[in-house]
Amino acid sequence: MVWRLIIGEGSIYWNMAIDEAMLVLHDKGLIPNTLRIYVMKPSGVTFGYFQRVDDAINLEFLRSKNIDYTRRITGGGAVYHDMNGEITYSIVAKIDNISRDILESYKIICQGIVYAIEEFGLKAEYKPINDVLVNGKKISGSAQARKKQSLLQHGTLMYNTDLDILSNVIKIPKEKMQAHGIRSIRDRVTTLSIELGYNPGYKHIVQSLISGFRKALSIEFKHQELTPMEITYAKKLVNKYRSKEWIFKR
Amino acid sequence: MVYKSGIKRVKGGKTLKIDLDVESGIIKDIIISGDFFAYPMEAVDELENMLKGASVSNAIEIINCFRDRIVFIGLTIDDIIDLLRKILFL
Repeated sequence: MVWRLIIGEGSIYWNMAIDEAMLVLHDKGLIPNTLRIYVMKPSGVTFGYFQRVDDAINLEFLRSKNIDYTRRITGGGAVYHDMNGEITYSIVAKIDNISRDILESYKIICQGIVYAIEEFGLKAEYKPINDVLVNGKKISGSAQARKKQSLLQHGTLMYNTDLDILSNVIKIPKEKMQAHGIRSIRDRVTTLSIELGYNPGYKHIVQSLISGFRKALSIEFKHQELTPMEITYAKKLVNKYRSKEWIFKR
Repeated sequence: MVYKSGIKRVKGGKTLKIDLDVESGIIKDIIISGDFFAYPMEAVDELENMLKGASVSNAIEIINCFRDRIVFIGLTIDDIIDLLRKILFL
């Protein structure tokens, strides 16, 4: 099977709008299965659909640093997307091409991240529900939304994320820290640069993600661009992601 | 109006928080939040809307109506019921 491959960059608002547009249009049978790999530029924070803003992120810090933030259409926790240290992927596909079973579909897609990391000679493991770990620390997190026929799974791969900013940005409830047996967020996360001792660089990681997903999903990719239909739809959605009503919904 | 709130970390799962405004035994407002996943997501908004205006004594029954309508990942609907019982001393 051949999937579309799209590589790009943009603000968190634009990328969340594109992801939602792709999910809706795929569910209507209007676009093919797609892997998108992108960088959030400028850096920004996204948090889960069900999270309360004040519980999830440090608004005061974000405002003082002029860092963008928005709510995702997917569940899960808050993520700091560092434009110089994090790559985001999103997959839009027919549910039947991955798995009807939700947990199984997380596992299948996250295996692509595991393979991508292994290209650097590191050992990575998928940790249910939605994490990939290296040496016991989180390096990637994913989140999935579904419509009738289609799923959207997007997630991160941290290669050189500024962990000082990350730990200032994301709030973790003490109950979660206790459950993970950690005292701060820094104890739980890592990056490819930390694990390798050097920064492997954006281009190399994009290539590793492409081959990781190719292997995990047994597919080939054809490099293409977004269609005018996707861009038009995303332009309609982007204002939602910038709006107070959406961001402060919970 | 009395504001009540509780948080539960589900073992091997995610974090659940419930915030409630209760007045004379009626739920005036409720927000079910956390880093969990739910399918379809809109059903959680719908559940909250059903609970708003309901009496505290009917809350568990209303949540139970959603048992077959939402697939939660990272928690179960019983975690929501447990936490609500704790918050409301039911």
